[in-house]
Amino acid sequence: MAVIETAGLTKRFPAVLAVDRVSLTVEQGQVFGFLGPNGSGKTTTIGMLMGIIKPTGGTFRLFGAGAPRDLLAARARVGATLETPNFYPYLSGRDNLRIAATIKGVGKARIEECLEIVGLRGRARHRFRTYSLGIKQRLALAATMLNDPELIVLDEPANGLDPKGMKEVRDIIRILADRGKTIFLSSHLLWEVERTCTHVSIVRKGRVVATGTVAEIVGGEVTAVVRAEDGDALRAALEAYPEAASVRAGDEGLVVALASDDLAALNRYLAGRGIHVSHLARRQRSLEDAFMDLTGEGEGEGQGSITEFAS
Amino acid sequence: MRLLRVLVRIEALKAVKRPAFWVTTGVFVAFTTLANFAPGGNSPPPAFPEAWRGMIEPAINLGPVFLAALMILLFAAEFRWRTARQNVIDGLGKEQFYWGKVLLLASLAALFLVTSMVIGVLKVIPNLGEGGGAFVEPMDLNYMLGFVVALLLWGTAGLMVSALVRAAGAGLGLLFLYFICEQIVTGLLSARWRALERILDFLPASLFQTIADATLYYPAVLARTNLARAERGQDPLVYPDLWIPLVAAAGYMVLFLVLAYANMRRRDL
Repeated sequence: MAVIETAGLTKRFPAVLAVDRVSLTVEQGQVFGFLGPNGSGKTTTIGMLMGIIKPTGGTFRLFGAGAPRDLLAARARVGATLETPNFYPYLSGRDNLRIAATIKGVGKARIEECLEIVGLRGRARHRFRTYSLGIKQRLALAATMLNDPELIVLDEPANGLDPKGMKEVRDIIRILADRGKTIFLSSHLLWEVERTCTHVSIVRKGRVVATGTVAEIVGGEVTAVVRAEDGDALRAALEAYPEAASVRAGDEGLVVALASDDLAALNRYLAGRGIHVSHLARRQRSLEDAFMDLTGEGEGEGQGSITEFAS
Repeated sequence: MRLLRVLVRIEALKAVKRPAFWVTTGVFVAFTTLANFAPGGNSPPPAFPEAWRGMIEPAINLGPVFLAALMILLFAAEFRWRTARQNVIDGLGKEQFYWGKVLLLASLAALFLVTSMVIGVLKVIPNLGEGGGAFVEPMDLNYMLGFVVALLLWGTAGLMVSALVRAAGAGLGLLFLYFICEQIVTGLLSARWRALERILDFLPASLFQTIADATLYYPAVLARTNLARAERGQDPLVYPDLWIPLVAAAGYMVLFLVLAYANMRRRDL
């Protein structure tokens, strides 16, 4: 069953096309990563799903509901946070949850339960404005869980967290996923998504450029890291190499996505052009590699075609 | 019914825990108390029914302004903190969120009205049983109605400004700047074109001043005022029938509420 379905969803602000005909489907039980660089339209897309931003084109459905009145009822089955945690700074964490709980029709016992899950009972009586960003994020997670929602939408939940905090958030997401919840996770922390998500959509400049399972997005190509004394000549040669799908600069050297895994052939090709490599190694392709290739991040204008993966 | 309960509970929690609520209400109470208990002046004797006018007069001049300021502080901040957005994400419709604020406005207006009356009654308690005639006269009830209308006129203006400007500081500035500018502009225009005066009297700030003026409700006060004006060689004050400014004010209230509602529906959070 599709929990989220969008078809041609579009948002045009006066000066910018923020979301451009986004079509995606999130099935029940998926942990769905919604990836994109900052300003790529992730938050705007979620905002439209949550009813705080009006689409200028296209349609969407939550739990099959598309009409405004039905959507209000469907949103009662959703727990969501958008961007930074949004709470009343003068209220305590517990009082902030009381407001969310009252709207969601949830009792006091559940507030305490959620505070316990995110480890915030000790700080619950302190004012929100005194919290660190990590604690604010945990409170936001508690708020999303209040009504035991079937769909949890988290926008950059690891923002501002230290590694320990990130692991805690990841663990909470895993617990929720194990309980059969559908999770829609927007992030630009690629390794975080790779560890957490089952399915991914990558957006760039408001458009979906790839969608599928994490394995589908990551797999299919071999990645090699190459270094040589003359970096410019190496890059020119790699870009001319018929088997190279893409070339970009990485931390360890030039990262080349290859259509075949014959590194010896690549080495011969480079040597034939007078380039003697100082480093040539196969690398496990990561979601970050796929993301960089698909969005052209760090490479100026990248490719704009949509990559579809069957899942 | 469930929605009403939810709105009452969340708006009450948001308001009573906000220091700005207690500071604004406290300052209003302090000023109203001072105005009621300050010695001297030509206020009526503290016994019913004459006491009503002395009770309402300071409150009608202060209460609406404080109510508008409080409304802006409580409502506009929800946009800066993005809690309006979070309330909607949590399950309120944008329209429901708006009705929550209308409910808050009605509750605050009732609070200001009751507080003013309680402070006034405290002053009259030592003189209970004194004074003659009825406990309350029709003109006192009209003045109370005027107080309620004045509260709601300013309150809805505050609500509209909050929805349009979405920032407390700018909202307060805009509201009070308008109040001052309207008086300057109407003063200049009526000095040049006397015929415009009767129309300009129906602009919101001028209308409020008419509604707040006790002479509109008490013919004896109007007669005394006009006598004093005649001695100074001034034209007598002429007021329209009471219902005309009250209906005009009600028209503004509806306009402000509709503008705020349309804005909430149309704009993204």
